[in-house]
Amino acid sequence: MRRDRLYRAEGIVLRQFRLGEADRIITLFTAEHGKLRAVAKGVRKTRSRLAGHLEPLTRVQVQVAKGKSLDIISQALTIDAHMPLRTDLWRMTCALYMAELVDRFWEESSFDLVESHEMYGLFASSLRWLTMATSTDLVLRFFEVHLLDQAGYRPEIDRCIRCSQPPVSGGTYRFWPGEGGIVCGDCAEHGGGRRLSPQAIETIQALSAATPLEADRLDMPDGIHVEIRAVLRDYIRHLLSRELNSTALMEELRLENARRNGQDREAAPSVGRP
Amino acid sequence: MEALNRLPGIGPKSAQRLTYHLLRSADAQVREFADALVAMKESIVFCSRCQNVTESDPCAICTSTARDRSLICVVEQPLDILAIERSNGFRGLYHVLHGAISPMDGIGPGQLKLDLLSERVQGGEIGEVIVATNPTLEGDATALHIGRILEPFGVTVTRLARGLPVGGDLEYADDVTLARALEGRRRLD
Repeated sequence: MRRDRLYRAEGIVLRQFRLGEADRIITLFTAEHGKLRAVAKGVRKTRSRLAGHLEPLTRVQVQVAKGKSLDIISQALTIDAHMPLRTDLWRMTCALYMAELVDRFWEESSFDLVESHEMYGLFASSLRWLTMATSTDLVLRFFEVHLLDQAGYRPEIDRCIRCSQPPVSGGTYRFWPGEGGIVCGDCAEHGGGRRLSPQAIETIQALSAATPLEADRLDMPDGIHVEIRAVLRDYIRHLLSRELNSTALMEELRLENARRNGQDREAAPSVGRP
Repeated sequence: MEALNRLPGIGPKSAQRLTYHLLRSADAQVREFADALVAMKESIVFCSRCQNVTESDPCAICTSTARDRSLICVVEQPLDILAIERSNGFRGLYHVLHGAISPMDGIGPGQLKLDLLSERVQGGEIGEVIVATNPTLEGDATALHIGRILEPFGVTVTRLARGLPVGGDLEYADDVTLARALEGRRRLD
């Protein structure tokens, strides 16, 4: 993709870094250019025209000028500010978790256009879904499953990675993060990984095949969700060689919510209709 | 030059200029400068009540009898206190968080020592807590969290109004700012 001296991009702001006295470096994930980093000059001043449009989680259209080292954002216009995510701490943390996943899995300037477009589409539609979802857990698991697929790390859950037998109800299976797939009871000589029930496997398959609209109607009982969340977390941690920073706050909010309401500690903090 | 270069905002050229200036200055002047640096590090502490940077603990603001002790204004950094004091619009006490909640950078409520704020509020003297964190996503996240943890104490928690900057242009305002400015509209009297 040839970058002209002045170019446009549509993207979602992932994060910002302070630079100098009044500038910020903005990291966006864009449809056309994958992950894009550019300078927004003067945005820390109160009169800045750009500042409000470049907050994290904003879907924005930007005009960018090529610079010597970093490109410079000359104009910005919000497409969707995802307001409900800014007034609800739990939803905001979920969204930032999703943004951190994108940030960590995607290196800069990945110029594979098709990949970029699809991943951007996934990110944009998932964020939009998150603003109005009744089950934030469904959104998170859906996003993780599809992101892993986009990143090239689709977990193998359609067959045992050793004997290639498809999972059957009543069977026992373990997910091995190191090999990125499930192992059936016969082939899992040494245990390892985590157990994954056939129902959980089926749910992941359903998530994988669904659009956000379809996934929103899926039934995911707490027990199944706990399994899926744990397995995906292990897998992602293995792939990134580290825990994500935002998981800590998510866990804290979950626990705090459980303490406060005497609820099942695995439930997401109750989210009313925004 | 290397030492100066390490300071934020000081590039190699500035470091060079400053070093040569110091070289040409009187010995006494340079010694005064060096002593001031050392004195600063040795005598500046964090106020045990509000976490502001100060020479005396508790700081001048916390000990002042002229201030409204039922009001606490929560800010992200000590420099924010300077800004608010300049506006002459606030006569209460402060609380400095030294940061804001930023999940992606791993900064959670624990790192901001919000327990200290809860403790101050539990004392019973406080009627209102004004959250003056930056109008950014991190500032908002921090404000939401403070609202939640202070709720059990029945204290009024408020957030600074958000709106259009003086001298700004409506045409260029972003959606979020406009929406909030509309929400916070006031009667023209």
